[in-house]
Amino acid sequence: MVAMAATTLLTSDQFLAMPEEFDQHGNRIKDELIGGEVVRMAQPSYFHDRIKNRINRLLILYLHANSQLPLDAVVEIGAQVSDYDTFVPDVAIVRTGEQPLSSRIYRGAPEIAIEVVSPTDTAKHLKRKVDAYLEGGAKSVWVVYPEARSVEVYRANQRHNLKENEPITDPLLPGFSSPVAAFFEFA
Amino acid sequence: MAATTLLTSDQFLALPEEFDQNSNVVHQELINGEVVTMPHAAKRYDIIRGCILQTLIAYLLQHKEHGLMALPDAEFVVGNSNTFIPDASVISISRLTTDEKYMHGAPELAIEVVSPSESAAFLRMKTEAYLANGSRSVWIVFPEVRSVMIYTPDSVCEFKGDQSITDPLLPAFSSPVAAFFELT
Repeated sequence: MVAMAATTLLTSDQFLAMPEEFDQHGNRIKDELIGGEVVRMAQPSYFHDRIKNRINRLLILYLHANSQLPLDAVVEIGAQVSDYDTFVPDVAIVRTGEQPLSSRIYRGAPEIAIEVVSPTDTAKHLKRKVDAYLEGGAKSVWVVYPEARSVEVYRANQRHNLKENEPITDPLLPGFSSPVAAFFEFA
Repeated sequence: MAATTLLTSDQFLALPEEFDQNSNVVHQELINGEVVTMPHAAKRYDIIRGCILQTLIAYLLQHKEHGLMALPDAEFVVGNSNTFIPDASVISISRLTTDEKYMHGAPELAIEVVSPSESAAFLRMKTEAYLANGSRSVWIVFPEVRSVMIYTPDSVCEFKGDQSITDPLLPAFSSPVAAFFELT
């Protein structure tokens, strides 16, 4: 259970300056900073990874066919979204050539942030992340719910709830259309 | 989700009630066949719920022609795999019965105040189950960011900041978002 502890809030700079932690197997422990609170990310799961990779693949296929668009699809970049928010979106659409490739951390929100909900994600933190992405300049946030097989799309003044038989489209990706169900199909 | 045996609503409702060490009933829900213990409400969350109920009751007393009533903590059997206890609900007075422990079907309006430990995935499944089983709207209230998401079968709206909440189920109802959170 996540306690509402009266802990000191960190800034993104403080958070990013912290040493990395490793578990007993030497795997790096991944954290996010959500509203100044350090939140451990869900344990990786095959199910979650497959959905994430599937979405990334659909986007990469689209971007290959539309190479005039200055956009890239990337998995799990660290994005410093605000002074108190540093997230690792499962998939992100970013503008190419805007930030140095050598940088460890992407500054600002991606153009589109895609979060695949894990069983341990709390609704409170997820909502804060969506708000921070939009306030940080993201054009869209796609929240993917594997159990419910649905996607909620957030834009500045719009909210859409898409069921699995509905197509997902995005103004930033002209011509892109994929049934939500395709996110959960594994070829 | 977990590889546990899934229960039906009938099996769930036949389970004996559980009590904590202070002899209070442990609140449980059945979500997609899985028994989920609901977190004990924190004070802040209770205050918000109280503000919402007060606002709704004031409106419904002024608009008795709608035949609706607001209830806290009523238990609803929402289909075969779901039994929920919304934090607040609005139901048709014509559906009220005093001879059963729980209501059959979803409330006309279900209101969930998100507690700090609430799972996003379960909340999503609950929202969809309410709407698939007859709720005309579902309010999801986020205390930390002071916003209310209102889901209907074919739309989603978010109300926050200095906006006022409206809902097609409640004609002429309007409440500033801030009124829900003003005491917290």
